[in-house]
Amino acid sequence: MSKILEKIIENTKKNDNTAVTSKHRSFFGAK
Amino acid sequence: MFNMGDETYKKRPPIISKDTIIAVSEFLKAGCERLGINEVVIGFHGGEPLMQKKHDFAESCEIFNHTLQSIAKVKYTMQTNAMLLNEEWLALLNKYDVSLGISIDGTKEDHDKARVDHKGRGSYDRVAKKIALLRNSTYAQSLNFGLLCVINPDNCAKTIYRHFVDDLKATHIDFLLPLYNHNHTLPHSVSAYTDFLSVIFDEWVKDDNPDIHIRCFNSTLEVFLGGTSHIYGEGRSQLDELPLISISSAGDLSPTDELRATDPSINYSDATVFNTSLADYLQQPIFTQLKNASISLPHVCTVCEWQPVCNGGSLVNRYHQDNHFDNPSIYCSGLKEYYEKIADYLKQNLNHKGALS
Repeated sequence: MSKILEKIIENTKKNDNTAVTSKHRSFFGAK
Repeated sequence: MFNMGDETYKKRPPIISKDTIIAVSEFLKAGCERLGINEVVIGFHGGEPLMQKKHDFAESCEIFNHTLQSIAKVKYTMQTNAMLLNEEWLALLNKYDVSLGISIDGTKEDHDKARVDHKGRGSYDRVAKKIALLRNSTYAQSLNFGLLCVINPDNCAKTIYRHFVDDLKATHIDFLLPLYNHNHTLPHSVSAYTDFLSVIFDEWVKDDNPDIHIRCFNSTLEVFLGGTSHIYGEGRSQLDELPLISISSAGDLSPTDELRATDPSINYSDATVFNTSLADYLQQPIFTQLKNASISLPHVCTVCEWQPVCNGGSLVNRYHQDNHFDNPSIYCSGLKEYYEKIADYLKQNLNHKGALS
């Protein structure tokens, strides 16, 4: 399995949206 | 949006006043208490948010923190062209833990075609310099930033991705489909926009670097895997998700500001932070309309195999003046190909049992 998919699966399992600082399409920072 | 016919900014003060900031904080506080909201994300947008005085910005954050922090977790985000970024701003943004998004349109050639200053000079060199300043600053580890790029099919997707990742060393990036809707004639074919995404997806997959986050891909893949969308109004969302609201420098309230690219009248009301509460404002018909649009999809979507992932596409891209949101995305045919590509990628990579168990 690819590394990016491993990480995405991990995030999905955890329901981890910590990377999501804003759901507004025009605000995209990062955490 | 300023290029999509929204001129409401002309009637408002260029900078929000302290009195309005206080009113906004009280409005949010009462809303959190009444609606049981435990997290607030406050985004500073413009115009250009770095045009304000640093003292005023710090004072705004202090007011929000003081008023809200006992009730809700407060997060800040700012979208900027970065032109005025300097060490003092970086220190302030770091102090208030502001998540910073920088708008950039691609390579120097791409960017300078679209973004010029009042003297007609392209701004790429100055933006790139500011990104380097940020990356090399003492706050580089704690103050993360992302790049936001609106898709222009005239530009080379692969070159832009490689430039962002290899030259600008960006690790958080998003590519936005333009805010066109069914009232517009697209300047390019639908597939030109979604092919742009597909080319970048191929490059991202080839890199296979889990430290490079492309929001649109991360979001779509998570939705495919049973999660929810990272972007309001796009794809499957949480059922209890509250709508985003926009507050102008005069304290006027409106639904999320990208809807101004549809029809300014559907966003208009006389509600302000001075004359209404958040709970009452969210009872306005537009919010019922938006909620229904994400639940009751057009027939063509309900029979589409990609509906569980796409959910009709972005609300803005579904709009038409005659039937509002009762349409599939204007990018529908291209999105189908895009989802097919992502599904193929998942099939190839989820070839063992229990990946999600």
